[in-house]
Amino acid sequence: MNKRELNIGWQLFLDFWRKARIAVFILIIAYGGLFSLMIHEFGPYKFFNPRFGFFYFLFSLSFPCIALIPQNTRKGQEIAFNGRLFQLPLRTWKMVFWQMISPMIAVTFVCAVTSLIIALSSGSHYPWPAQALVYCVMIAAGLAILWSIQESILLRLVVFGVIESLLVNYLVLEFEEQWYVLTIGKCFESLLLILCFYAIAVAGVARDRRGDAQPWTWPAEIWEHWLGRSKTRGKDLRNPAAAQFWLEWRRKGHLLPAAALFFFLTFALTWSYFALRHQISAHDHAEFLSAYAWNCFFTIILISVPFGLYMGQVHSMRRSDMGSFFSTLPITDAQFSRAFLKTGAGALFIGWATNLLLLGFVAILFIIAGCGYVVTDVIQDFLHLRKEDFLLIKVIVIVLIAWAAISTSICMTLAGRVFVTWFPGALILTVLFAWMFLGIDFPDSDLIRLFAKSLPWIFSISSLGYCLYLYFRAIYSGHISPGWAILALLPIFYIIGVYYKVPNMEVQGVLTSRVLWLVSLAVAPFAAAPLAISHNRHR
Amino acid sequence: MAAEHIVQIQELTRRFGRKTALENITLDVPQGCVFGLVGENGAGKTTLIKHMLGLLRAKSGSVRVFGLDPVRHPVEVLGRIGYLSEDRDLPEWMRIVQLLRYTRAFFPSWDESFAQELCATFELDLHQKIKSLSRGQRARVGLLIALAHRPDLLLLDEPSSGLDPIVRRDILSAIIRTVADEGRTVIFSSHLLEEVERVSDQVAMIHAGRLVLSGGLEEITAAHHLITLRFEQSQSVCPNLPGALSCQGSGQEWTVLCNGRMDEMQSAAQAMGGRIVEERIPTLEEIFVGKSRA
Repeated sequence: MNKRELNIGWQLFLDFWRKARIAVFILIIAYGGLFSLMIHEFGPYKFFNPRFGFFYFLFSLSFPCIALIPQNTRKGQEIAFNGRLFQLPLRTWKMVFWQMISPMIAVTFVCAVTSLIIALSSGSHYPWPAQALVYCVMIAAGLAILWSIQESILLRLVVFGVIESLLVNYLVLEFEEQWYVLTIGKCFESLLLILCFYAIAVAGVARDRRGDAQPWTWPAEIWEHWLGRSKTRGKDLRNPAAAQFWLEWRRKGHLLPAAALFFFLTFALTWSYFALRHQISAHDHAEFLSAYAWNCFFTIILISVPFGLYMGQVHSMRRSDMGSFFSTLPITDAQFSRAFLKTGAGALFIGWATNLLLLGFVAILFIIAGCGYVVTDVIQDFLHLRKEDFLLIKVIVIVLIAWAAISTSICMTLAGRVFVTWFPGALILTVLFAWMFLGIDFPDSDLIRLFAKSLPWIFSISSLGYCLYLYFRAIYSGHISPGWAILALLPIFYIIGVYYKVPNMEVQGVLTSRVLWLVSLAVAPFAAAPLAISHNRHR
Repeated sequence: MAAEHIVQIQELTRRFGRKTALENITLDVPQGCVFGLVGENGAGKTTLIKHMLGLLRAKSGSVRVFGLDPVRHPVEVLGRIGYLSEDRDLPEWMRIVQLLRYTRAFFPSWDESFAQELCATFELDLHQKIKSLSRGQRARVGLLIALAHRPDLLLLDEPSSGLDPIVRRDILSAIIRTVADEGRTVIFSSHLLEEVERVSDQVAMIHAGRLVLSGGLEEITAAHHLITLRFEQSQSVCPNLPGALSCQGSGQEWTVLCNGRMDEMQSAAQAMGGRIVEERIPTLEEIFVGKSRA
């Protein structure tokens, strides 16, 4: 590279730094702080344990975000390489090099500073060079996928899921060897992978720069064709509510099943990798199947918040407001909002149904492979839970939590104001962090114990008050009739009634407060959603 | 009364932070007319239209469309309005055929044969995706959706901005066609004043959030005069005629845009020692510029 090209490269790096510095800062705080806390809580041995592989995987996925946001731009509805750079007098391979190396340097920096924070706070040695190398490979892979596959979000997701899972399996889960002893061989392997992804990225960006057509449009076409085959195709949509639900379902209904599939792929690949590399006992198989069975349902809860935030968008990712087209449709705010809640509920249902199907599929694979006894063991475990009368309660609680999470997130985005979306989220996170710090630093404090005891009641009474206020506002604004409001609030009245009827107040009190809190959160969105739409639509 | 006036706005004021977007606007739009809303960029035209659609709540004053509050009765009001927005906002991922199917469900008065006719007139490929449409094609799709349910009120916000003459012609003929249906009303905002002058019966002029002029186009033009005055001796300042809005010239000859009766101006000119050498009806653009600078 000559001096001018180096100068351009430096400017590109500075541009990245300007855009990414806040993300880098947040990551350092989050990683340094969280990891320090976890080491403090679990001890270094447990923390650096391969069983935390999935946890690492989730964290690892957030790293490409520092590359994703500043190094890409929106091209129509898609995220793509920043096309404005094409006018720079720089060869494509050099341009891709600078765009790829900048986030890698940032990630290395984050890892080094995180290591320093952990060393200072807990005295543990945090093996950052190997980890930084793993993250660099993941960034290269993520950018290569984004820059070479366009016009098909689904294909992107599948490829991303498969490649990143393989990478996590190959690089992260081997960390007992690699984390502490970074051999030349491992370095060479990682660099080779980075080079491969770099070559794929260069090919994709070069094609984009030439303006050639995308070769990967067929999955999107198949998907469109498949969607168009529905029974209602060509038929008139009955009424505005049906039309709005059709639109929302078509745009967002497939998201949770896709996430379930993604989770399944990750788990299947992880397990296949382990099965190939290590000696696996029948007990391990049973543990795997049981872990998958529980985690696939819990994952839906985990992703309900980000998916709900996405599903509540009326216009598109680009705009928080409704836009003039949707806000001038002759439909009531209540009907409009119901379409979003129905989509959320439907997506949850289909997501779980997909999980059940995949679980069945995995069970069949086990039976075919001659490990049918593993399936029987797991089923017996479940039946054992049934005997203790916990299974039904657990299922209801999981359903309620998932519904409360997705519907509340939908309402937050429906409001169409950035502060309404992010302020409660930031508040909840702050409370949780504060709670973690308080709980760790002053475990024997009377004040904290009192606070801990009263916290469920504080939450339940405030969420009940919030729920009743929303219903009052919704009735007053004409979004919901008093009859429907009473019907929706019946479970809450029932729980309060149970609390006064049950003799063992001390035990039931704690349980009732939690149930009341959960049910209030689950019921509130029916009133909150039309109010949020109204807030967004009539400014 | 609602039957006579489709839109009734009373003392509407709207502020965004410290900026006053609309100040004390009182406006009635009669039924069956083409109502032109003119004003420079940022004058408050779109804000006023958004109030008519119920997208903005009247914080001070009131807005009634078909005699109803558009915020409290969105279905009743919006079901009778066809709206083409300035940003041609449409769901990008849809194909035109899907968009028509979706939109049709919202309007019981949807006229399918008219929609097909408009599709053919506008030469739209029904299977094309919205995101791949040009600006002009987007405007046509937006217009199709606004017209196909034969609305009682057609609201067009800057319909011609950034469009080629052929699409502009389509839009103007749509306006004419809508009005040809008895009793229907068109409100359109524009800063292309020749266009407004060509099709409007009524005009309202907004400047910096204030309504500076409102009435029938003929009345407005008849009430204004562009007068050229000649003086025996050179004048150092602009002659102060009654109702003068703007003045140009120097020395012995001055051109003044006035609002008032012609005989009053003649006597005023004589009193100042000048005489009217030319008088003509000003264009809407000249009145607009004069009012904006006054």
